[in-house]
Amino acid sequence: MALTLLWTVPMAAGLAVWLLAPRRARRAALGLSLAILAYAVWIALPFSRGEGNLRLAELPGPLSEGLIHYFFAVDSLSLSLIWLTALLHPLCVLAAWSEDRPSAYWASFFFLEGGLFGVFTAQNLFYFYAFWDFVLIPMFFIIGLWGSENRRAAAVKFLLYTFLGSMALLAGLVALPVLHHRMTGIWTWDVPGLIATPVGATPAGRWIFAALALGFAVKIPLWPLHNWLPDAHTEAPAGGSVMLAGVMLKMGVYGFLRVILPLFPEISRAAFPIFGALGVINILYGALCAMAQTDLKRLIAFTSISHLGFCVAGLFTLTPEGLTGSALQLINHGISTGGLFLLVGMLYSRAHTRRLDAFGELAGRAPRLAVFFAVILLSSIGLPGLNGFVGELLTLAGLARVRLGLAALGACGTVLAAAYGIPTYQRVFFGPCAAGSVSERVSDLDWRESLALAVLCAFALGLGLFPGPLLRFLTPAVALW
Amino acid sequence: MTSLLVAPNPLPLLAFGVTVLAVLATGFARRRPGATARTIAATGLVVAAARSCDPGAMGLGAGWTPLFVAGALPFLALLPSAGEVAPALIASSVLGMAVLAWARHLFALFLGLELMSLPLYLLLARQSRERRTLEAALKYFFSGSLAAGLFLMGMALLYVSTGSFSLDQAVPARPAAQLALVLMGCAPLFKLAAFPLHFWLPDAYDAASPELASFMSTSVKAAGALMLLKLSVALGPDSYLTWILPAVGAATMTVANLLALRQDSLHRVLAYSSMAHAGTLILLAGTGGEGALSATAVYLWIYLFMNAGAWLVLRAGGLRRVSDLRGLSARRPILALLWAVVILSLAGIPPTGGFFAKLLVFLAALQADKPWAAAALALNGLLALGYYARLVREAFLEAAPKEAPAAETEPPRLVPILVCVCALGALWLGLWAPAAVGVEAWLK
Amino acid sequence: MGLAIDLLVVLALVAALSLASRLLGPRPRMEGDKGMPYETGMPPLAQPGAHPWASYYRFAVLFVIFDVDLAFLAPWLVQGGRPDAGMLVALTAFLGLVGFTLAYVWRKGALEC
Repeated sequence: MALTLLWTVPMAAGLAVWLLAPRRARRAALGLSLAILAYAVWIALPFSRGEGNLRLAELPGPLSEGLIHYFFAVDSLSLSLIWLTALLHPLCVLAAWSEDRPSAYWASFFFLEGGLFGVFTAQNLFYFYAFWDFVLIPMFFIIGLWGSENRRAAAVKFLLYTFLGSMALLAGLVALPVLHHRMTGIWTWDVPGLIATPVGATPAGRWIFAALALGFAVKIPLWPLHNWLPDAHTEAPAGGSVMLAGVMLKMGVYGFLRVILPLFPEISRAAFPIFGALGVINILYGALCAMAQTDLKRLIAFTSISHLGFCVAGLFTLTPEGLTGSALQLINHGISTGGLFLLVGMLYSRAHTRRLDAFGELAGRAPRLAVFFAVILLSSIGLPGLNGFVGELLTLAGLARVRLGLAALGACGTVLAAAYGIPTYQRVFFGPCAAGSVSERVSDLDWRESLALAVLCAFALGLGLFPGPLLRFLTPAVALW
Repeated sequence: MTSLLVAPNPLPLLAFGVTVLAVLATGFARRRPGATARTIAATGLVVAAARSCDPGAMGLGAGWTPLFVAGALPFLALLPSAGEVAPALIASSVLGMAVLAWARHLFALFLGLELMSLPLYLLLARQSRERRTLEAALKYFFSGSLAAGLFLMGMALLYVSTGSFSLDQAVPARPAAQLALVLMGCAPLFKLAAFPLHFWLPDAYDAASPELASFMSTSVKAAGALMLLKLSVALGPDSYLTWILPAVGAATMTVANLLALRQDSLHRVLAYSSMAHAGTLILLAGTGGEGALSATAVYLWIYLFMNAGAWLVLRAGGLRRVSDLRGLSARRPILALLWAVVILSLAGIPPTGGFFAKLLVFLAALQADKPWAAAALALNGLLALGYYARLVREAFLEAAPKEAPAAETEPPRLVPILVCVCALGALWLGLWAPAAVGVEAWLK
Repeated sequence: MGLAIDLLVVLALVAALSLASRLLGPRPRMEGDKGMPYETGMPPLAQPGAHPWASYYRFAVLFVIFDVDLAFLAPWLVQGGRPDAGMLVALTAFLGLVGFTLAYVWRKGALEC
């Protein structure tokens, strides 16, 4: 019951918020999103530490056979992602407070949240896929209706490109129970049921692996399927970018962790050269492209690509460091990139431009903004003491255990991150400011925005200094080595 | 008599027949019948469909008549009240579909096919006096007659090789007999607008009014699919059809989706969309195996709701060109929302019914060991989203045109209600059907 | 399989012959008597414009329908006109339908000139 409420309450909340007047809807959105966050934390309280296996399962009765089967359960990985989503949602609401948004805007975030909760808790692959595809719809409307100038094209590109992955994913997901039935005579679409009989050994298993990997790779996004991301992130409104980068990109890596790695262990091990290389390409390519950007939001979009490269590379090492680091990096990236997009959104709502060279001398005009930006940016770059460092260190350590060369290349990525991050910060906050530039219009953060960012900075610092508890929490769920 | 139909309960067929006669009988009155004819037709059809669901009514397609009637009802309800001819034609067409459903003998199958088709040609030709309409109707008529001719040739060939006209006994594996059935299969493939027999489709749907197009794309497709299934059941599990049908289906889907991407007329976009769904149906019929009948029926019920919903939105908004959609979300927000629901359902996006329907076809294709069909389906799903996304984009994301659209004649009040029913039905089916329908029972 | 090859050969032959005839044969020209209406070889007696009016199709169609109806009565006639129960029911229904059609057509004024 608890997990059903988890995804149905946001849907119902979204409908309710939609019917209210915009001002009231805004307040209701904040209140309801905080309530959902509290609920998400509360349901996990009895979750004892150290047992990362599936708990809080929702089954309609005894575990019956059948393809489409209402089986929802969580483990620590799901819970962390659920908490991340639930945390980012009220922060998005706070950040968009001063913008004049219609009720449908606030409602869309609830639908998105409900869909994401569904993805992270579904253990039956039918519901997993249903929620997977469903989240495209609210995000399409968020980008398309309330984004920037090129929003229409960006929204359609986002929808079509990710749907390509979805179609490949569907083909693979449908093939799984068919193959399973052929091998065992049982019809099941539940992940635990499918793990019991390995389909990965068969020749058809390779094709299924490829299809599933394609589907998840588009979401991450893995080079060369990353083309939808810069446009989608740039044109989305600030809150949309936060949810897109903060949570929706994690769906791809979650898919790898939940579906592919447990079901295809040998193929995954054998596929390390490909995916390790692709991950490192992500790191370097994203960083290099970020260095060339003149649009602040696009720059951050490319840094997303870069950081998720660490996740993927660490994932396929199938080592303890790699897997836990990858899972931790999911959370870290959500916090840091979410924060970055929030900050850029705040800048944009004041200055109405995202061009790097339009800004300058902001440190004096907006000191709070400067401080928060510094913390979040350094967390994203991977400064020791902040959360990004732990994730990157662990994934690179895992990578080094398997292939030192790739790890070395990945480490270059951290240097490149500093190379695009620090000069950007310097330019925006300490650089020269032409007279009459938009920087003069940038006022400092108000208390709501400061609160939102303070929460994120607290998490960044906390996880950077004390990553142990979260790591221990996540380890059982990703123990696939 | 018993060799032609499925005795012992021919009552539902009689009910359909009596309906037709009763509707025509209203023409004897002094004044023009108007709503009376429509009401009689609708009541008669519904009663007959209800009777055909009785446990006593047997037959391969007896459960399909409610589907045919449901497809006809929006058209009946929205007819301008001008005489008894149109309701009679609709009732005759449904009678033909019912005969097709009950047929066990090839003569009856042919009878049903023609009885279904001829009123359709007339209904299309009666739409307006424009040249375009008459041209479309003529194209439909001539190509339909060609298909009927092919059917007759196949029928003759089958009699020559097996000495029987009955569909009940399995057709032997002699090449002449198999070829005969393939020839006969051209007739339903034509009705389904399969590639390469689809060229009549865009003109016919463009010239038809939305409610006629809705009838043609739901009930007629269902009848065609049923006929195809009957023939493939008669052919047996290992026949040419197991690879011809998926190939034709995949080709139809691809051609339809490619052609739909460049259309400017909403009628044509929806026409090609229905052709793409027909291709999916053909694929399902070819790969379904033993469960093909049930799976196709479920698919068609879901398709009925979403397709009729789409056409009725066109009627409700008086929309003809794709650019007419602009500003719909501002002018008529609820209609735009329902439009989004049906279009996303047609595209196969969860949680709508269209997604479950697509899932059925994926399952069938992979279970029948045809991964290339599944790959074609995946690719076509993406292609189709290209134009479905465009339809949603035009309605929601594009700014309203500067000048107000031409004042359209107010559609009957029934139309928005029907749109609601269809859209909500598509949504509800998507939420209820996966849990309620035991899919694995249909897979071998 | 062999039948398929037969079919293909037939189709190819037909296509080849038609194509050859079209390519190699003389160009069809409408000259002299070729354009005249056919009346068993005799020069046409009727004037060019005096053919029946287009709505004559009504009578033609009705004639065909009732003529074919008569053809369906042939088995009963062949049997000598002695019906048994089933045939009586079938014939009554059939003739009733035919009569209903006639009445309808009459009422709608389709029989007027």
